[in-house]
Amino acid sequence: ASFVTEVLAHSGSLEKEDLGTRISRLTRRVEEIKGEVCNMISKKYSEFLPTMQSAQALVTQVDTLSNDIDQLKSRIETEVCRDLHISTVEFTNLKQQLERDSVVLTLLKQLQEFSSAIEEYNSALAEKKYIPAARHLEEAQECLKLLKSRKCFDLKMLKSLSMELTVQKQNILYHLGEDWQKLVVWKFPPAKDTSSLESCLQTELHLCTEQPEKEDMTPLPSISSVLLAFSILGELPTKLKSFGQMLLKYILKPLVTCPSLHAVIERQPSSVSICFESLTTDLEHPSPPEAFAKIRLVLEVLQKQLLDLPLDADLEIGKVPGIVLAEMLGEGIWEDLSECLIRNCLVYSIPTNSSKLQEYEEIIQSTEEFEKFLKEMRFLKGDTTDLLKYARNINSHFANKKCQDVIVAARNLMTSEIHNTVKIGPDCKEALPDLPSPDADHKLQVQTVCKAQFTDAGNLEPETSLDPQSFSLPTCRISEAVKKLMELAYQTLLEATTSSDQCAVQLFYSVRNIFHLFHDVVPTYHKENLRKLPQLAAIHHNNCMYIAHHLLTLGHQFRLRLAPILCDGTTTFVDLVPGFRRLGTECFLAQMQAQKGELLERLSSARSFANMDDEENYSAASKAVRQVLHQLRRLGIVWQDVLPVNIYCKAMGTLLNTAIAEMMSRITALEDISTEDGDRLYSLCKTVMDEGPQVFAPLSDENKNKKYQEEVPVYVSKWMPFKELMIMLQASLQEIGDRWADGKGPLATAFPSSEVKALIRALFQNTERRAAALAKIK
Amino acid sequence: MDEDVLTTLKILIIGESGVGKSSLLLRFTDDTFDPELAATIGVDFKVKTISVDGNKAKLAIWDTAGQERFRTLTPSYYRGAQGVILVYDVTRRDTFVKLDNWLNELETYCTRNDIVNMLVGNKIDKENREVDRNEGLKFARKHSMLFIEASAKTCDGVQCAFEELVEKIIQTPGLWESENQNKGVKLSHREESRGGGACGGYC
Repeated sequence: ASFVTEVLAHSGSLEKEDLGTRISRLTRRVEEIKGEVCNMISKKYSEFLPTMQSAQALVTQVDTLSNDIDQLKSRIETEVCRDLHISTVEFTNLKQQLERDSVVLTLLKQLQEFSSAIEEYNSALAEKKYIPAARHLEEAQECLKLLKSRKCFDLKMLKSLSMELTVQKQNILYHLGEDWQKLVVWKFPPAKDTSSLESCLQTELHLCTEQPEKEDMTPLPSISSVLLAFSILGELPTKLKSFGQMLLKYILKPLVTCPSLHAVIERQPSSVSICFESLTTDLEHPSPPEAFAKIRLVLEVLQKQLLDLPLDADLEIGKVPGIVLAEMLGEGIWEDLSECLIRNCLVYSIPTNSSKLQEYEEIIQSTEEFEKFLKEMRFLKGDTTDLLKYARNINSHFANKKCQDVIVAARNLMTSEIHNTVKIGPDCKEALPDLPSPDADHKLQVQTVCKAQFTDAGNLEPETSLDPQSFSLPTCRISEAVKKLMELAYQTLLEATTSSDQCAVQLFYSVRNIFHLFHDVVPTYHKENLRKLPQLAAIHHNNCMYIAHHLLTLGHQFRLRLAPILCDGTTTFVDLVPGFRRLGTECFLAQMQAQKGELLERLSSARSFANMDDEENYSAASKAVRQVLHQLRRLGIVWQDVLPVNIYCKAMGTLLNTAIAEMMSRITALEDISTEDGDRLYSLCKTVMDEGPQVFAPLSDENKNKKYQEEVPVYVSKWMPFKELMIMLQASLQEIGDRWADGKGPLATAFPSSEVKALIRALFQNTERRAAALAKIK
Repeated sequence: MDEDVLTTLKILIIGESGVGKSSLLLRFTDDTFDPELAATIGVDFKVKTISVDGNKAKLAIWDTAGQERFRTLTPSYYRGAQGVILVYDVTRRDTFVKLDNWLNELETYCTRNDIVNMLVGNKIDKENREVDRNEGLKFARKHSMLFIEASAKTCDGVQCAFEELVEKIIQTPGLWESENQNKGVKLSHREESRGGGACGGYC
């Protein structure tokens, strides 16, 4: 502890010593700073302030100086600007004055030009020098246009000037028109009707070529000068257009449409005229070469007399750019003319038979020549080939025409009466147009090759060969129209074999279209009749089967003959076969359904064949049975000779089966059959048994029908059971037992044991013998 | 009167048209003969009770139509048949040649394979025979059939044909007893027919 106090006491004395040294150091430092501050203050007030004062004095001096400068500057500016503006305005005024003066001068000059042009025009017009006149008028118009372009000019004067110009223009146009009419004279028939031949004959066109020499008339200017004047005045297109329309309407169109009409050119010393004469002809439409020749004649005259006039002569005056009148005229009327030619001439020249297609080559050639001529004449521009294009396109036109004809013919056949029938059968080869033996060697070869192969393979033939008619359509009746339709299809395909590719394709598909059309048209168009008339339904069924039968082989028959383009396997009609079969079957089945419904309805009035001992019930039942037989007989007659025999028997058998099945189900359901009931039911059944087979009369030869009447059990599945039922109705218990024969007799095949037992119970009194008989039936 | 009948047997008569199937049946059942008998339409049926070796059997005989046009009806008649009488005309070779077709049909439509077949060559009373008895016998043997020549007109062999057929059926085990198991079976005394296996070796 003493150590610690020692240490503590020691440290206190140390600190005291230290503080003393520090304070002395601080005092020294304060002294130093005192000196520095003193120094600073003296520096500032003795050195800085005087300098500052002198600088401020300088600033005020500079300010005053700059003020002076500014004042001077503004004074200068105001003074100079004023002077400049005044001088500019002065100058502008002077310039405007100059401009106005020069404008007035030009205007005056133009006015002078205008007036002189009008003056010269007037003098030229008086002398009938149309071309200069027109030119002057044009100049005047130019002047006027220039004048008008200056907006500042007095409008009133302009108005009167332009009015004057218009008047003068109309004046010259009038004069020109007058002369034009004298030069190109149309003569029309008095009547307005232009369509008749007579009126055409009275139409004439005169073209004056030379000036008439008579003194009393002022000489007419030439056509060329008139035309040129028109052209200068800008009226040429309209004038030519109207001329062209007249030409088209009164000369060219009649020439194209009337084969008997011919143009006649009469050349007189001073004029050329075109008129008509009539030559008798038996053609209804002119042949294209003829029409071309006629038009060519007329156009040649026009070309020479009117269009080819030396407009070039005026080229030296230098203002006619190569106007070709023929071109202008052509532009105006070519479209109509070519259409007229196509409509009235080329269309009718399209052959209806492919064999004549070769001859058409001539027409194509003449068309080509015609167009070439027109081009040489510059009537046509280089690139127009409407006619030739049309003519060249002959194949498609031909095909279109042909296909249209075919479809129309087919449709007419489809909408004609179904009941006009023809009999067809395996033997009637005339059902088809004989396919001409292929004239091409190629096909002949194919055939012989085939034959050769067959003979080679002869030893492979089976001993029992198929009937040659195995694949034939059975004998039946079809509509005459359908036979014709099929012939049409064959003819058209034959046609296709000799046609060009494109045409063949079109023809082929129009044949397919015929069948598609049949599918749609016939069931719709004849809907009501097919529903109502069983005979028509049967014929329609046959028709469809007949078509389907031919469609099977149709494509094949022509496979080698058609153009290669069609030989890619698409030339078939087989795809249509199921559709046609369905079409026929559906229609006939619907008819069968209807007949079946009718039969059942008749039997429904038989009062379930119960209580036959009641006279009224018996007569109702017997009436129902007779009605059924009558209906079947009637059906048998309308289907006789119409349906193929097998279909006939099947159909009749099904219907008869329906009737007897209904009778059987009614009778087997009876719970009590008295002896008298049994006898009467038996007699009803007997009626059906006797008369039922008679409804089978598929052939019109009555003697041949016996066979089918015997075969009734074949077609009527319930026939044997019906027979058993009939036997039962009058049999003894012993007989019934024998026919059952331990389940091995016919009764056992006809009815199940339960039904036989029920019938026995209904027919016999409850006796021991009955019980014994029932016991045997298991 | 049916009480003592052992069983009812279904017998089918088949063969070409005009060989005398119906005549054979009529001779057998009614003991009559009609030279102008009309062609059978569809099918005919007769019942006759016959006594063979003291066994009474009731025969349900189906006389089918031979004509081709009724052929579609026949298949249903084959059902349940226990014996078939296949008839040909010894004066018409074609009816003999066609036998193969009939056997084929038989095989196709029969519901059981142990059915007993009997080949009958009919019309042996006629002069112009075309098929020799041995040929018939050979054919029958080849197809394991009973064979007999007969004449419906002169009554030759008719009764015998039916009797032999019935006898053979009754001797064939399983062919008829299944329906009549409660009744005893009397086996035949004939040894030679025992020899064969399943096919029986009937000839």
